[in-house]
Amino acid sequence: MVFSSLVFLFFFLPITLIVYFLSGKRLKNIVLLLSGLIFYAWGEPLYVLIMIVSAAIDYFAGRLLDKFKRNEKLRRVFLLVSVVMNLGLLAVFKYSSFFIGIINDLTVFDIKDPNLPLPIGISFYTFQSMSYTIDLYRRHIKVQKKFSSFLCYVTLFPQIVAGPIVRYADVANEIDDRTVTADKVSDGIGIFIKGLAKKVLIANNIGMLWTTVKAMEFSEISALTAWLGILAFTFQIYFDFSGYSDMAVGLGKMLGFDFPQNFDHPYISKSVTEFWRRWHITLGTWFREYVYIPLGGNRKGLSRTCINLLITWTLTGFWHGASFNFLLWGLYFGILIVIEKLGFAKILEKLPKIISKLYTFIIAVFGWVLFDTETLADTGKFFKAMFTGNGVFADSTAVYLLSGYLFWFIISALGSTEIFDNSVKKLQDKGSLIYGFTKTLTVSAMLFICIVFLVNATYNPFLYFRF
Amino acid sequence: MKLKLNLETKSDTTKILPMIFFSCLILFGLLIILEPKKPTFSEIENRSLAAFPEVNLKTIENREAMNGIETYIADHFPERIFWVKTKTAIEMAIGSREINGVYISKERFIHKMPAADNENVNGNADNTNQFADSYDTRVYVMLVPTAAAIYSDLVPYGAPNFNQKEYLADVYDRLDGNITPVDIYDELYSKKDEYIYYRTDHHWNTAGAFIAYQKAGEVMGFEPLLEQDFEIEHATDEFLGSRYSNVLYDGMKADTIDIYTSPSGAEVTSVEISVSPDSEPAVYDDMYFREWLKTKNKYGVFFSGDQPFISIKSTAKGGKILVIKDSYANCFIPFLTNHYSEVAVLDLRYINASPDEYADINDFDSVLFLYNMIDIPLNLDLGDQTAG
Repeated sequence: MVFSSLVFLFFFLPITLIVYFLSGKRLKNIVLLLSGLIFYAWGEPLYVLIMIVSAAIDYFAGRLLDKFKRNEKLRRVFLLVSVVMNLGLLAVFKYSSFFIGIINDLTVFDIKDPNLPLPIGISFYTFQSMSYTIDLYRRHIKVQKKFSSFLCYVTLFPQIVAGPIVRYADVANEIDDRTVTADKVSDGIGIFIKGLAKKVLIANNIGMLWTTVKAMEFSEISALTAWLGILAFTFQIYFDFSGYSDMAVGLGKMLGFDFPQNFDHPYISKSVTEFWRRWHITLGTWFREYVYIPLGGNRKGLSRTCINLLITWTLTGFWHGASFNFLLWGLYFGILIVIEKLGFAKILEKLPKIISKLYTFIIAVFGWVLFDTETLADTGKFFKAMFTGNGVFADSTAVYLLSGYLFWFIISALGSTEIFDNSVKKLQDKGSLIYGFTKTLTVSAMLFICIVFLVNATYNPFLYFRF
Repeated sequence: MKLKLNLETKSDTTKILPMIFFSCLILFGLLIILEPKKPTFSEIENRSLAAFPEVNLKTIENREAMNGIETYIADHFPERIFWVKTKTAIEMAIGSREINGVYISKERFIHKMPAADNENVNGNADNTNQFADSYDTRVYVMLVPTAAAIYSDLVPYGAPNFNQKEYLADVYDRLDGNITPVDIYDELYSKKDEYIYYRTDHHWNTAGAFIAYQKAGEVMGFEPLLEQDFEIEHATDEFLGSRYSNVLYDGMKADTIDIYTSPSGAEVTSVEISVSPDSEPAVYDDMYFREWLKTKNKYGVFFSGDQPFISIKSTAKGGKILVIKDSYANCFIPFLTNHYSEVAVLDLRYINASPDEYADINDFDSVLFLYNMIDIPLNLDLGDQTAG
């Protein structure tokens, strides 16, 4: 199920919340667990079993890690079982076709590609479960003794299919002990609808431009068309994904959880390093905690630090999908971050803000070309169109696209800055009555417009479902 | 474990939002479930509404059940038309001029014609050539440009709109010498300032068909009646056509449907409509089915819409003609009844047997292919039907 669907909004959500609010404290986790399973099974009626089995293995690995507290050898084995199982699931379902393709190309073998469909959210829930066993191994958290509570964490419907990647440590306390208040519910609704509007109004609409351009022959489009297309994707992926995260955070609040923030205005960053502190924050945190730091982080000298950064970012890219484009996309950011580390960051700091922001934004835009063109040949053609326009700077098609989508470009550009958040803050200073009134009105209006677009939805993809 | 619902809040405004949110969700949810009789067809949108999907293990496994439920809710959403119209209004307000594949100009809705289907040009021409070789009859081809070509100046600047004139010329070029094109492009284009295409529908209107009829007479060798020979009846002036259904934008003036009758011309003696070759045809004495003027689909006044096979007999002296066509022909065919003693009409999209089983094609003096540009690739595909 997806948040921006009518089934979710008008049936799943109200029914789940009513049952959840009405049930006693002992039952609340069970209600969540069941709703999570239904939510997931709605999209993956078969693969829901894989998720339950993998959660069970992590749960028992956790219990055993706890039981054999003093036996370091055994503890390592239990951790290994959990990590191998989770990465194995990813390897089989997400990466097998990619590697089989490489092996078949490079060797005389001809392995048959099973072409397994990617279970929704597998990249997210495996990372979430791993955070539990790894942190337990590091003795950072306490063991979860109740299987229902652990499964409740894994299946928590706000975050199961597209993040944020909530580490067990983030919600360990709230799993066992949380309070739902009217304030939190009210806040949660506001955040949820903000996310819904980002997704349904902005991402879906501006995304249609990119779909149009993507269907064109890249070697025939003008420079302006190419730039409009990739800018549209730049905004689409941000509003799609951050909208999803907002909805998850909002739903979490309604249920009494405080999920970590996943996006913090990435497109106003002044360096690539900063961009990745503001983009998909929970993924960055995961790779820092469980890959970069274990590799030695920055404690083993400059050259090792650079290598560690490159490894971490290449893997981050590869997490997004099994293709050379994603690997390159990760490596591209790794290299830029290393360059900044080696001194370019200092230069960026001295430049006027507008220059460093523009630099970072354009780097991100170039990244999206790598990210969302299907093959490296297409990537090349698209870059060529951006820089040469295949001989044409702007044609009538570009003018039509620009005039049809100008409104969404303006909204997206403004929405990527802190303007709206700052005006909310200003309003808050004016006293709770004015603020409350304006907020209620704005949020209700946004809900209304979202319903308008949802009832008519012909184009409603979730980009991060592929991951 | 401490899980409490604490209703004390800082201010009352905090409580209003959850109340609005939940009552809205619950209200719509209940309305969707409780709506007593669910329509199966949306007349204003001119399309069937989704039925509740079958739910069993198989449909759950392949997710048809889940996808079906989502579509079902969207199709049966309370006051659906209000939501659709509101979306159009919002899109218009923010400057969009293309909704659901329709360009909205000041004067008319225009069906979007983004790209010619070049791949099928050859195949279509081959099929037609093959047809002409297989039968001993004169073959004419009339391809009708759509409003996107005739009113290309009303298509938003830079919007994809292929050159139908070139495309038509290309198709005509590929036809063998024993096929005669009836090229009406220039005749229609020169009268573009007259009311020859519906504003809210994708068809030309009867006045447009009349222009084509004049040219057809010239090419096909009959003496067409002149405008003064006809009595023009405004059958309705409340026609909101198919493109209106696509956009549900109320800012466009409704269309008039005209019926041309010729007191001095030939008289239609019988209209037989057959669904399949074996079934008994339904017999009428009129080509116009005025009860359709009371429905949404008023264009159905001509022959009650597209029919697999129609045979019209009249007192005209000329020979027999077979028209193989799409819906553009429906308002054109009545003109032919003044010149042919039998006009047979075949719609390849609706027949369930090969054309030969409906009629002996060699028995006709002429065959006219009449198609508009929207779905030429589909309709000229005579492949397996002529093979039989």
